[in-house]
Order: sequence, then C-alpha cells, then structure tokens
Amino acid sequence: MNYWDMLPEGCIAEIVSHTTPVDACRVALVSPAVRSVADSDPVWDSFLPSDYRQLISRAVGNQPIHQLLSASPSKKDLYLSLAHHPLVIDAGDMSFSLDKRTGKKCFMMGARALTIVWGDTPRYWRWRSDSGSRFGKAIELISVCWFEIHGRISTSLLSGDTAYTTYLVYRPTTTLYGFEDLPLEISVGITGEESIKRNVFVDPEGGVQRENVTRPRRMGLFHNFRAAHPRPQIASSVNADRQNPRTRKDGWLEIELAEYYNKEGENRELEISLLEVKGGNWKSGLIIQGLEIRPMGGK
Amino acid sequence: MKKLKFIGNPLLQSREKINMSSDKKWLTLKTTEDNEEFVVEESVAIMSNVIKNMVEDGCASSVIPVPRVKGNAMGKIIEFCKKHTEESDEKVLKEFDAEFLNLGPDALYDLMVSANFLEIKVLLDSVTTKVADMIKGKSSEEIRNILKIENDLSAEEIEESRRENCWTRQE
Repeated sequence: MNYWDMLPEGCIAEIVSHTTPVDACRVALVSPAVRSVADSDPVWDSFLPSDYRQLISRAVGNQPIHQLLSASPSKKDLYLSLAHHPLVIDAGDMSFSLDKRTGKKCFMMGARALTIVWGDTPRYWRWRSDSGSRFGKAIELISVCWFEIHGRISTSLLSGDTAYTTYLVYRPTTTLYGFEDLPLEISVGITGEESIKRNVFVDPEGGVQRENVTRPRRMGLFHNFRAAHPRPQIASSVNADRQNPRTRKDGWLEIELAEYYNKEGENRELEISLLEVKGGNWKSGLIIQGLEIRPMGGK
Repeated sequence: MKKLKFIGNPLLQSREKINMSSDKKWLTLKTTEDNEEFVVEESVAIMSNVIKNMVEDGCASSVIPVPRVKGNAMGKIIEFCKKHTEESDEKVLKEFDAEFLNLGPDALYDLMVSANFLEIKVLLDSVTTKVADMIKGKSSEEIRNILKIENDLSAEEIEESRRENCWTRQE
C-alpha cells in the first residue's frame, strides 16, 4: 500500500526541494501523485537561483526566454530554458545560464566584456560578426607579440559555496601559429590578492603537426626577425602537463584555465588573466568568443 | 491502571516530587488513538506550535488530547524535543539527530506525519533532510523500493516521462 505519496503535498515538496533537479526528475517517475508535486512550482522555484528574475530582466533583445515568459511558463519550464538556452544580458556582452544538473549559475564574458591589450587596433585584433557566437560577434587575433587578456566578474553574481572552473572559449583559424611551444600564463583569483597560476597550451599539437611546414615569412615593415630566427624553445622549462582543448557542443573549442571557489555572501572582483608576453614571438590565428565560468563537473 | 510515562529524570517516581520543583511547568499529553499519557515539561511541549497555541490560548487544561499521533511516535517526538531544548551545542545536536533518525521508512513516515501535524519545525526539517538524503542520487526504481511506493504509472506515462527527463539518466 502506498503511503509516502499520501503525505501532505507540502511535505513531499519539501523533501524533493532538498534534493537536486536531477533527483526531482527521477522522483517524478515514481508515481502519478508524486509526479505532480515533483514537477510543481514550489519545488522548481527552490532550484532556481534567488536572483533569476533580476538576471532575466537584464536580457537583451528577443530570445527564447521572452517567448516562454509570454506563455505563463511553469518554474520547471523556466529552469530548463535557462539551462538549455544561455541568456545574453547586459547590452550583449555577457551570457547567463544554469548548470542543468545542479541549478548553479554559469556566465560567459563575451570578448567585448574583456580587456584585450591592443584589442582596439585592427592591425592586431579585429572584431567580426560571428553567427556561431552567442553574442553575434567575436574577436580575431590577427597578429601580436604581446598577448594579454583580462576578464573581471563580480563574485556576487556567482552561486555561493560553489567550486567553479574557468575556460577560454575560442576557435583556431587556418593561420594559427606562435602558440605551439609557448604556453599562456593563466592567473585566476581575486583582484589584488593571491591567485592560482597555470600554464595552458591553446595549440598543444601544433609543435608536432607543423614541424615540416614553413612558417609564413613577413617582409617589409613588419618583418619579424624572431620568426625567421626562432628563439630556443622554452617548453622544456615549462609545466609539461599539456591539457588538450575540448570541443564544445556549440562547435567551439575550450581550454580549461583554473578553478575558483566562491564563498557564499562575498562580493569581490574575480579576475581571469591570460598572458603570453615573454616569448616575444608573433602569434596569430585565434578567434575568441569569451571566457566562461561554470561549476566544476558541469558541461 | 493507566500507564503513565514520565519523560525526564528516571529517579522521579511520583507526581508529588514533580510538583515540588515549582519553577518548571508540566503538561500531560494524551494520544487519543491509543490512550497513552506523557508528562512533559511545558518548555519541551511548546516546541510543537499546535500545543504552544493551545497553551497560550488557555485551552490546555490538565490533559491535552493529541489526535492522529500514536504513542510510540509521541514518545520519540518528546525525546527529540527534550534533547533540542536542553542542548545548545550544534555539533552535539547534529550527532544526536543522525543517531535518532537512523530508522526505517515506516518509522520515518510516522515521525514526518506527526511532526507536520504538530507543527514541530525543527523535527520536520530534520526528517525532511534525512529522507532527501536517502533518495538523492538514486534511480526511480530504487526510490520506489526505499519508500515502498507502488508503480501505478501506465506504460505510456512512463515512456513520456523518460523522454522528458532523459538528461537525468544515469550512465
């Protein structure tokens, strides 16, 4: 005889709210009586972040969420929409979504929200419309010696008591070079405080693949002696743990940078920095969509 | 001879001894389903919002009838409330709760229904968290087994739910 599903709805809702979105969906398969509670608004409202309304109000233009909102959605519908369709907010510079399994908040800082040294000089970096980017645009690295990018986000936006990982979301072009033996020096931490430092290779295979390919030589004013006379490789002195970039569902590549643990109730500035300023060589051929920060274990 | 349960100092044998400690108020709770009586300190009893309201409204005479709650559940509830009134150390309470709630689903169910009815928030929260922990990470089938719920969804309903919730499938 069933009895747990004869509990007052409020009790069942409380129990399910103390589990996770994944569990709630499994509970919904248990019995019809339990299903209606497991799918109910009080339960899914508890999975949504407390500031979801405020974040939705910052959404730009016409996105799936707006059509959904006009159709009196359930909280579960809202949750799934925010999990499946990252919401572009703040004049199109940032996106917000939910990690489906846990309901924790994810953000991507679009290239426009980043500080890119020499980013305003088209000879070095060029903006381009890009329908593949959720922001409709991306920035392309034409050629720089000095590669320096910073992204900053307020930790009050992030979910409390959550371990986050940061990623560079990018695509190589056919003229990707200069990164094969030189890592990007990553630094992730609160601005002005101690940070986690890592080295990542955006082109880990490049050194092997391009051994037999002649590097394009640039003549004239921008002839780079260093490209013609390469410096000794620094690779040997560097952290040899070359993590490979991963292909994302949206077709872009991502490389894991470093992690950050966000404590509940803090309001600090988290800074993510990517630098390659020691090699002195010319680097080219990256299209950057942005920097993503999402809970560890999330996809 | 009615069975009188004294929740408190086991050395106290009679009502007179209890009444001598006049700084403490005592109530008698009687479970109407099985006529068990419990003598309890008022400070412990009023952890139940329902009893608290009765006492404040002056309706509590010498014996407070408590419907729907069985004697053995009442005993456990009083034990819980007494511990939570006496102890302020969070760590000790946490350990106590873990030990206290180490029960099968039947007993947990009774506790939950009673705590909900009597409006004892602390107990209800503890049981809720315990049951939630029991079902976290489990498959629908396992949840059904743990809580002994019959599966009366039709084959179509199951299939539809599976499709909607396919992202939760365990690998």
